[in-house]
Amino acid sequence: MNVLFVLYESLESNGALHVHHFANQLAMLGVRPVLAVPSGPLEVPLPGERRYTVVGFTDVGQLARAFPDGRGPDLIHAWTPRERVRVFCQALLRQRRVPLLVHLEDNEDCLLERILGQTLTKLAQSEVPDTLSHPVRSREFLAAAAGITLIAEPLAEFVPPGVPWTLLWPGADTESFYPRPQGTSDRYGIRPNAFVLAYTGNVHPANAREVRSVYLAAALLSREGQPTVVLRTGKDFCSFLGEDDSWARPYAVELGFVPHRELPEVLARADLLVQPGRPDRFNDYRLPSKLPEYLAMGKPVLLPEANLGHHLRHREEALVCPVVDALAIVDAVRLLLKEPGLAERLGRGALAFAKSRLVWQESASRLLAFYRSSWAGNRLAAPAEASGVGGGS
Amino acid sequence: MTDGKPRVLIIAGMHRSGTSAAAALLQSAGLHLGDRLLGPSPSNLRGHFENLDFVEFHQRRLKALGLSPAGWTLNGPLRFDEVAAGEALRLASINATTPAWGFKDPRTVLFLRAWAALLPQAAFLFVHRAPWEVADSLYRRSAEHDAVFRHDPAYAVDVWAHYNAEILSFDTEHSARSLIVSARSLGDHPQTLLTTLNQRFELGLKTPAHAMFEESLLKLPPDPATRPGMLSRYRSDLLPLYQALLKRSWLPLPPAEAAWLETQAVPLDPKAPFRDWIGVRLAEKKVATLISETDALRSRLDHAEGELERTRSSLGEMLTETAHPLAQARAEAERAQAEAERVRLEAERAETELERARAEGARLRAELAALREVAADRERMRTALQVALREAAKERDRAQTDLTTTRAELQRTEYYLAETLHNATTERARLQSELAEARGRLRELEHERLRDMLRRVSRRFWGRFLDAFHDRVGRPRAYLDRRRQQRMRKLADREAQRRQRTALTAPTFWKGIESALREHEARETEPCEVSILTPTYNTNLFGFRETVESVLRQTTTGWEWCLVDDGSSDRELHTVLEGLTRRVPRIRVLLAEHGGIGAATNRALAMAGAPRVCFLDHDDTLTPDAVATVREALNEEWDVAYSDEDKLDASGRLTEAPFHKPAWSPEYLRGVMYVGHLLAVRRELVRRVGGVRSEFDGVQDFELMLRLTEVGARVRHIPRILYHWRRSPGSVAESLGAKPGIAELQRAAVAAHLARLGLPARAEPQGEHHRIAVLPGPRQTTPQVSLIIPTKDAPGFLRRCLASIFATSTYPNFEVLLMDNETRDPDAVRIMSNFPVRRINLPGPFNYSRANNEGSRQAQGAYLLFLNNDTEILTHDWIEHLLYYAEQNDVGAVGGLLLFPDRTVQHAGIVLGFRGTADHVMRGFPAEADGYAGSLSCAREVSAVTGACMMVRKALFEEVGGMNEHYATHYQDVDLCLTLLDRGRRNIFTPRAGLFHFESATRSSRYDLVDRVLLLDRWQDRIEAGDPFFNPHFDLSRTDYSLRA
Repeated sequence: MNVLFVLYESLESNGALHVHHFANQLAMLGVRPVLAVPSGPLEVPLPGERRYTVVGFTDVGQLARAFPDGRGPDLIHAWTPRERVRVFCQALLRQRRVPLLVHLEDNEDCLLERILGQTLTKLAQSEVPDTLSHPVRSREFLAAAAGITLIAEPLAEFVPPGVPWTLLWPGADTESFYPRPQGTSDRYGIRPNAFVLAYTGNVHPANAREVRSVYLAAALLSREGQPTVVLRTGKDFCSFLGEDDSWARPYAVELGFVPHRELPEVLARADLLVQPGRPDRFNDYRLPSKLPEYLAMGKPVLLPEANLGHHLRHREEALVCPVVDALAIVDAVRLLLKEPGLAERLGRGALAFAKSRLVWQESASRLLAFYRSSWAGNRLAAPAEASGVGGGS
Repeated sequence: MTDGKPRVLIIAGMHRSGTSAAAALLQSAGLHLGDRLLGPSPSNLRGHFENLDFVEFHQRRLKALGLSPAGWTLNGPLRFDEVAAGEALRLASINATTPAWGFKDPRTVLFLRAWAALLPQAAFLFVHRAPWEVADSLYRRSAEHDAVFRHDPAYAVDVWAHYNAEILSFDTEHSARSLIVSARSLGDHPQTLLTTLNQRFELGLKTPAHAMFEESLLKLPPDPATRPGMLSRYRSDLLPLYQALLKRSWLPLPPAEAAWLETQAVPLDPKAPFRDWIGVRLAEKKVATLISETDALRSRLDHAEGELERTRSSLGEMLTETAHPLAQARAEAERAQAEAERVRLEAERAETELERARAEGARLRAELAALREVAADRERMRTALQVALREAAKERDRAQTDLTTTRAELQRTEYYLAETLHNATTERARLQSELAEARGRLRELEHERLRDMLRRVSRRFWGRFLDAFHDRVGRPRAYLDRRRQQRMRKLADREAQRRQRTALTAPTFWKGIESALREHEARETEPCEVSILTPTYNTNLFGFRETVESVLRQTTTGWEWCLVDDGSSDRELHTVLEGLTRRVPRIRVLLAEHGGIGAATNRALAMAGAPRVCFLDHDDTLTPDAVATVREALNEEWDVAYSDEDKLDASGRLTEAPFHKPAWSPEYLRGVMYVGHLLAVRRELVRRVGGVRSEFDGVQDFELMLRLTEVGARVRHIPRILYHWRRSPGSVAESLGAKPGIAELQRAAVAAHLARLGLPARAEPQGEHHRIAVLPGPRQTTPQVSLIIPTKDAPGFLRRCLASIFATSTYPNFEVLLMDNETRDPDAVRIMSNFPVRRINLPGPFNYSRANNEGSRQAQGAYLLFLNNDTEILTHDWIEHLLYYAEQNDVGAVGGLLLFPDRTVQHAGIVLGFRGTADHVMRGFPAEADGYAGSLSCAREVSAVTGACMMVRKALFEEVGGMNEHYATHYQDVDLCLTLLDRGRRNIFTPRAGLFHFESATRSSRYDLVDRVLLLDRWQDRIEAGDPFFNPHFDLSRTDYSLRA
């Protein structure tokens, strides 16, 4: 089966990692995957061997040749319904009638509202940046799909009636992310007695407040006598610490963009890996890509009762709080410092969860089964668990 | 091994006699031969199985004795000195690691008796081989240490004879411990040999698998036929020795060796020496050939080396020649690499820039869309402004006319003033004359009558004079303003009357609404979901026409209009109403007897068929989406809705700033009739509370609202103007004094409401704006109130604060807890002891929340009153007012009115959103002002109150966990209040608990950013959603209720 993945960002993006792993696993199952990206380099270091071909959106004329048999795709898997993906896929579908699958990994409406600061009603009448989903056109795109894959179950509310869907968790890259000694080196200029909170990821309007909570927790703990540092990677796409950020900077080590392969070493230096936030219209509908990596590191992870937080056991596999704001982080740090052995237990639990529940191979097998049922046009045949048909569920 | 002691087997024999083969067999059978074994060599490819410990030991001993370490000697038997014996024993103990062990070294033959003495449990296995075979093997081996045989080949046979003679001698002496075996027997019968060894020496050897030992070691090549003969001829002494060995050897002997037992002598083949001779010559010839070939090869090698040297030299020259270009190329490559790196970095930067630019682009696109909307809004505003400007120009013209008139009036006034002054002067002169005359007559009149007359005259004079002065002179500006306003109102009224006169006829009315009627009739009728209720009474047709038009032009047709005329005498109005119901079926009209507005409203309510009713005054007008909005607002979550409003004058023009109301505020409603006219309610709820009460006609809608709240109605505020209230002559909107009995009706309504709710308070009218003061009544109980005052030094503030508390407060049951953070000032310490307070030491860094939380723990009262030490109490019943609210179950925190020393407002409630977080509203207002629509003169709901004076029930304070101690300086009070709001409590500001707050004197100027971010971290959603009690139309950059630009 020739499968074309259509990605919304460059190979350097987080989303590319998921597609990369799925494509690799599918290739080992006999599928011939090709990945189309809108921009950026086609050769980017990614974990493990690459078992698929990458083409740019501009190479669409040569697309068929990218497949080993030169036939072109048998199936298109659009990674999100964002405008640039939708436009590209629809152009392809005009040339070649093949089943279209769409992957949802965010509440696109919420993302749109948060980034553009306008209501959906207003946005429905206007153009949106091609990196986002149009509130009307994306729904039409989904309605035309032969199937939809969801990273989180609540996203099923966006599945149009009659369209089959399946839940598709990512795996954890346990070959790159695994427990290792913390080390006491002064590589990041962190004092040995400082408690280290790690957050890896960019900051944009949709998560600005949540990341600010991590910085605030470090400032509060330090002010209250427990030296604490935020070890941060990623870029800032908005100002989120206020015009005067002097309250936060002394407690942060900001490494900027760090290649993905180097992240394990950064995480290894941390005492607590933090996924801040709260259950809401944004967090309930996604699965932060960093979470499987955090869990695979075998370290204590703090996360809210959203997405994976519904599946992890509190105090056994992670610290799961109703809301992870600054004070929740402060409480978590105090708990870890107060309760010896808890950090180790949490690390073991997290690692076990990653190895048993976040397995690329199993997710890829599930995806392949879904491809086959979609390809056969068998829309109603769906696995019993975490799958379904839109509209009635 | 019956005795349990380790067994030792020493394997020995002449070199090259098969001892290695024997050792290999025995090791395979489980005999431990040591860990340091001599490895294989060209002469013994399978290995020697010699334990290096013992080999080296024997070599050292031989060397010490000046003998060949290889064991090529004819001396012996040799012995160990004391040191060597100790070392030998140590080696034995080191290697005795298993129950059966042993070692093998041919040299052992030279030390047999020494070892036999040292190791009495040791057994000896001797292996022998024919002398010619041994000699031949030694010649073939020709190792370095075998060089001696090259010089003296016969010496090999001598050594053989010496070793084997030693063996025979030892065997004779120790036959029980010794076993002699020929190498061939060993090879032919290994298993039988092992059995024999086990039987004789109890070694416990096992049968080895074939794979475990190398059988080929045990196979010997056949004897060369010529050697025995040669030895027999030239060394006849060897034959008996060899035969003796064979005789002692373990049987079965191989047939070849057994034959030797009977052999007397072996004849020498006479050709053998010649064969050896020719063999030597052939070998020499072959060697010469090989030397020649080697020389040729060496010559070719030399030639090749010469070539190589030349090539190397040539290459060196080439290298020298190419070094410079190469260096240049390398430098070029490095430059290119650096350039590539720079380009890569540039590309990365460009990518980053591109990402930023995309994000910026997205934001700009969004901003552009917003700007376009703003531009469209501005265009609309521009058009509206142009219209307004034209109106203003007309107004200006009219004002100029008014000014001219006023100037003339002023001139007339001045003239009149001058005349009045003149008259007054004349009158005064006349009166003075009269006074003088009266004084003259005074002497003639009785004292009492004269005094009365003088009093009358004085009052007459000064009264008239002062009246004239105040009216014409003392307040010229106010007078002129009033005159101008009167003039303008007169003009407006004239205009209104003119319009009314023209509209009073039904044809004109119909002509005015015809267009709206047609449009309405052309639209599809939606299901009726809202009944509009309107009583009419001698309604002005001009205003009513606009009311009708506003209803007909609603964006939805899902309404019915229930009009009840309350016995109007105006026949024209009846005609119009009848015509309306004929023309529009959804307009239903009832012409009733006069019963008052309440009765008429109830009749309209009885007619209502929709699930929602909406009250509308007969001269108000609706915005086009008013009905649709209230229909949406009253969904399943809400029972009552009200909206913002503005006012029209009699001619239909907007007259003043609109009234933007707060979210539902039951406490504010008790003081201010703020809900207004366009009240939308579920029909069943109004019917359940009994409709409108006629005895409150005039405030009947306000009174209804009070009763609705008593049955738990869920009230919603729509922060948009949905109706325009007309200032008709005689309405409260036109003049606060228009309905003289209103104040009393309002008071009665509130008093009855308080009584029904069981609230221990009375209602009293206050001021001139129709406000009601709710005052706590006499108390049945006086629960203890704990005043908690964090303090440190500052004796001046502390004295003033404590003195005012104890001197001013009338509440009988309170305690004062001073949360003392390490006061050192002696005056402050003395002041603390001078008042009946509890001083609680609170050492360590000051934390306001912790001080108050600790105070709460120590407090004995059921109510906590947090107070700053830089306050001064102004009102005697301040605790009673705070307690009145704090005692109500649904109330969280209660705060008072805090004033700066200049009697302007420091605190009258906190609004969310000021400064991006929260701040005090109406800061700087005069203390006596009404505030925005009574917001300063009446108690009301607020999002938060200051902790500088805040009362909370102790149980509630503990339930929410007290104040958050993570705040170091600011916002702990706001955080507490928002937590209370989250728990469904109301926070109340009351202006009747008054205090001075000398804030600027104690407040640090440092703004704690961490506290700010902490407040946002916890409450940003709520803050950004807007303060419900501060209408979104107000400007958050100002605290004075200015409208948003």
